[in-house]
Amino acid sequence: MDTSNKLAVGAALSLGLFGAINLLGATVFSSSRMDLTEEKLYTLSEGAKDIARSLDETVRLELYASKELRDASPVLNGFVGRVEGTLENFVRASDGKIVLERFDPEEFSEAEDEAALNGLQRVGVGGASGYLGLVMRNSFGDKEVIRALTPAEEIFIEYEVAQRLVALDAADLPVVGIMSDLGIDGGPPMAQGQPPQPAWQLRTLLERTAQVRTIPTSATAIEDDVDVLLLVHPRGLSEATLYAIDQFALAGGRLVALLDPSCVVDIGAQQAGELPPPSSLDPLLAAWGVEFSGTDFVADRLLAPQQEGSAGLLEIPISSEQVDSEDPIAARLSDMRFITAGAFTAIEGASTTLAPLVTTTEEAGLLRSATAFAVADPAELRDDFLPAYRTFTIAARLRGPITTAFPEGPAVDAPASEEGGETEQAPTALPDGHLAESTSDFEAILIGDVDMVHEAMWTQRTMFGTQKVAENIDFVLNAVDQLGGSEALMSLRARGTFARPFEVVEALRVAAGEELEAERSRLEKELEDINARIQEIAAEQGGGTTVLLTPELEEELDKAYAKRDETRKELRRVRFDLERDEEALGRRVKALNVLGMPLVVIASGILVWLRRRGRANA
Amino acid sequence: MNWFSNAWVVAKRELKSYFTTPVAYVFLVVFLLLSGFLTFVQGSFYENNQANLLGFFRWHTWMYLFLVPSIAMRLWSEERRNGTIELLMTLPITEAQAVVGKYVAAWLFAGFALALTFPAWITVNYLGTPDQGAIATGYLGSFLMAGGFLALGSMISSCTKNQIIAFVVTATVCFLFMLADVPAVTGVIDTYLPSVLGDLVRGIGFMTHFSGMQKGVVELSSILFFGSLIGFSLFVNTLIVGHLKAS
Repeated sequence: MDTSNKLAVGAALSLGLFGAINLLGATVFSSSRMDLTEEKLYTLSEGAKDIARSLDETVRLELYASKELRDASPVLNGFVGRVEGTLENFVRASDGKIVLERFDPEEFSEAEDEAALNGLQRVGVGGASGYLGLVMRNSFGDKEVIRALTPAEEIFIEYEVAQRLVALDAADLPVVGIMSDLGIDGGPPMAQGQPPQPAWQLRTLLERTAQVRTIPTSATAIEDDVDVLLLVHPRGLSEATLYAIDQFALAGGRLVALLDPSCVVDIGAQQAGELPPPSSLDPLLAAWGVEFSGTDFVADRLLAPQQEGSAGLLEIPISSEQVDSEDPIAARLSDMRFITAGAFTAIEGASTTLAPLVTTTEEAGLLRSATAFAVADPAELRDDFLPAYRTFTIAARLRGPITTAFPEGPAVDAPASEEGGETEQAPTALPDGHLAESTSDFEAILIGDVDMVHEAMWTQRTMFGTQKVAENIDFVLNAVDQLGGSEALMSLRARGTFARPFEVVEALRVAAGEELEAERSRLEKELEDINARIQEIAAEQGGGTTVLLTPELEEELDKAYAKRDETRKELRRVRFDLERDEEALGRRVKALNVLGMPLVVIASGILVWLRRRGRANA
Repeated sequence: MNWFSNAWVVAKRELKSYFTTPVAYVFLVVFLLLSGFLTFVQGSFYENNQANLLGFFRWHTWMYLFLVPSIAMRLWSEERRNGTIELLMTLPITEAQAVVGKYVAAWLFAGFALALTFPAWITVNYLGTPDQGAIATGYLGSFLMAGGFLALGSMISSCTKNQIIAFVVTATVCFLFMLADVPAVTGVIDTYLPSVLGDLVRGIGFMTHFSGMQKGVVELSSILFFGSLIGFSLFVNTLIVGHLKAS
């Protein structure tokens, strides 16, 4: 074959093969990829993949994303693109059980009606507005909705979708058993003629997402179908009941336990003059590798409120700085209040891991409940308080293999002997079905305060009704919701973030902000002083609106105004300087990067030319 | 291996010739100035306050569109015009070795230009903590893209004696590849032609493959794309040179 034929055939063949290979790449191999980002941002975590894979029935995802919003903001557009990517990853991992549909809810379209009907929230950016939400449906007509997807919560999108998948896939709502003597279910009227006591908000809110059951504190067994046991202020539980909880935990049951070194809400147990009683879960906690601080509570002098009349060191207000920012049940909480909270510590060598969810600062220490309640004014506690200079964990996630706290079974009293002698513990055979070890990891959330979940701590009565003032209840509800879900769900954490700001620039801004703030408060203080002085002068003159100025007073006033102007100038100068720093850095960055290397290349070019000329002349 | 050492000899000779004239220096300076200006001035890199090099990479396709054909056009058009192809072919090397040798030289030169942008990497690491994985794949993607443009350019330059024609045609062809996955184009194709063609056209767009690699994701389809583009272009290039030699 001569070369022109070879060329023609070769070119045609190449074109065909090129097309075929790339068609394969675009279709068959379209999902083969390597995610080389540091935090695997474009890949689902294993837990999420497990959840997608193990779905029993089909789930439909309907993504409503207004084109108007996407066009208005490139940041939002990028965000929506990544949300689509995450959803597509779920689809891919599900082997066909998840189906994704995209809708653009344009004005007056059907899609817009659907979006509104399903409760999606209208959002706006700049001048544009639209919808950005997700509706998820299973084949039984159940529906879960994410009403508005926001870039601020991007790191939790995987968790939110996974959690709803689990909820849709479950045939029934999880069964939550509440075991408590505190009257969470409501109770008889306190006095004659009064209405019965209402159930706690905790119970009412839980009933929205779970089948709630009351388990008496005298129970000797916990039914098999209970998914999560919510234990609130266990106290004086009998060995039989403790054994029941022990076996429940070993069998794979999940636990959310609220313990308190001094439970203020336990009014029933407090006779006049007695201290609020502590919770106790002793033999079980030890078996699970955890210690609770007994009757000592944690005080944090940096966090504690300082106003007069506040609870002072008895209270620990929690902001987002004190919570684990990667654990989905705690991370998004920024305002909680704990009162006389106890601390959890892991026992060395335990088979379980205790992961802190809420911690104090290092200016914290333990106080005995007795001393705290002995003083009339909590403010007195501050003077003598000596912090331990370490952090304390007041809420934690407990996870790991466990063994029974009752290796010989629960103690059972033998019947009294005929002579009426002492009753002895007769050795009994282990009960049927006694478990000695857990088959899978035990999962529990331990919270060191009981009072925090009572509405008195997180709601306030105003003229307009009851308002929520803290997120205490969300923490407990999140914990129960998550533990009622699948094991895979509990392994999900916050994903990596796409936002990586310039730390150097941020540091400059923070420094600038601080300095500016200092100057501003100085100026305000001076202004206050000047105004006070003016008022003083007016008072000296016996009030009235006209101020008669003596030459000395006039001079003083002039000086004051001059000083104020000077300070204002100073303030502007400081701000200008600090902005100048940031801009100067920017200019340096630009100059170095645009001109740097080109100058180097030109210089080396000249060097080479000179050398060559030198050689030529030599 | 002998085959490679022959090709390498050609490559070395070619590379040396780049630096004997001011051409290489001019190209490097223009490339670096343009890249720096587009990223840091036009692209407001500093003001965006994001520690990544996305604002740097996004200009590469456009820069390559104009700059790469200028390297590629010299590869074979000049030889054709000067009639030095026959001279080249008297040497004990095959067409394939000549083609690959020249191509490797051009690609290494482009890689060198890309490497000289390292101040951007230093800057972004000084200002913040970027995702190194994404930066690495971004550079890899850019290098592969330059390689793709070059392979096409090399093939096209062997078709004509006129460097200007080589430049314009290469730029046009590369531009077509860049348009291939633009939504406006794919929208039209999806509407009027069978979906298979739509998938195919989407699969040969430079932008999709490069944007994936800028993010930190290396897709098999991208490796296949660049590999097949470079491979087949050089193959056809070799056939063309063989044909020229014979005639």
